[in-house]
Amino acid sequence: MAVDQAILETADKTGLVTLRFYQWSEPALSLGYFQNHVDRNQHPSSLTCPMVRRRTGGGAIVHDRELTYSLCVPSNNRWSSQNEELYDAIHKIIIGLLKEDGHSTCLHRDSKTNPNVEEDAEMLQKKETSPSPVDPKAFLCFMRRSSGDVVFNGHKIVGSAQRRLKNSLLQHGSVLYGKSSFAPELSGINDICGSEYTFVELASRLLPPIEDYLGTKMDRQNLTELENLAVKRVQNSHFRNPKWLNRS
Amino acid sequence: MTPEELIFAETHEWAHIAEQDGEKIATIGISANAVEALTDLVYMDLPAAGTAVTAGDSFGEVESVKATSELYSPMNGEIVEVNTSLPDNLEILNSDPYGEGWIIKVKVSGDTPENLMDYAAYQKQCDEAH
Repeated sequence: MAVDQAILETADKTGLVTLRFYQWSEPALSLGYFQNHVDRNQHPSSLTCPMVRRRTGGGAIVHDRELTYSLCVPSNNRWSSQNEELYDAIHKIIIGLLKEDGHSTCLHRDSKTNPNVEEDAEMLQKKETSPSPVDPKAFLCFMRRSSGDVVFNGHKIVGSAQRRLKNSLLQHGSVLYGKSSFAPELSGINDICGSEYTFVELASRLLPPIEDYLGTKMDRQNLTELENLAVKRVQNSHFRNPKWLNRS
Repeated sequence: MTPEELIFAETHEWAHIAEQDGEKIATIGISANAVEALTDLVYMDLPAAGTAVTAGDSFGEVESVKATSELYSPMNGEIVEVNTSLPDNLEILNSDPYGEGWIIKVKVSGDTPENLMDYAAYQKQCDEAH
């Protein structure tokens, strides 16, 4: 996540649009930017997970059987000023991918009007019990709901948040494809619909439609020298700084 | 205050400068456009009075349901007053962003930065961004 912040802070100098898909070397907990680190005690299942703090807001995420993505656009890119459109667009791309496979998901705000959701109700009963309870102030991101979240039969399966730095924009998100033993109250896509999505499949299938949407062909690249320097700086100032990580 | 009485930063903060006891005091907030773009605000982190601010540098942060954004000072100086009731009443930013929704007051040092815009120029910037 320090890399994401470094990319955001240097975006206006590099001029690069950067998309990253990543997994974690071990199951980890990321707190939303403003969350109190003490609040992690509310969630005993993840207490043994190492903790990081995101620069984006919202609730905590257990990064285990999920795909983390980040998309950074510099201020000279038109998407940087169209934050709501970008947020919805990425989520609609994920909805489209799942629809190709016959899974009817939708944005939370459309969930009461989407008739296809009802068609899946029978299947849901076979695979998974009722959705986790929703609490707007819940510790976990996936227990909260906002209008643009991707939901599947009441389960939140994708959540995202943005951070603006001057006029550059970072969008972070998480696609929950499987239940984690560190957050057993949450169901992933595979648990709900009996699919077998993996990180690799989701990442490879999400890339082309995101490229199409942005009108940008992504080249696989290492971090630039400027970005690497920024990574070291933000690791020291924030991501490896206990004072920042453990702030209340 | 009406937006026509204010000057604006590219990063969507506004300032209103008035003379008070021989000092230039800038009242600073964020524009209605910014509040609308942020959507539902949930948290605001503000500095204490006495903090020095530099034009173009962050002085606080605001979080909405979807996005976290920094607040940038349009002026150089020292914070002399903070709207401490605002973080617990963020709806004021929606209802009165140019009045009760002020965020900080700064005792200005030096000249007003040249890159600040009047309302017409700021509105043009917002229109061009969409």
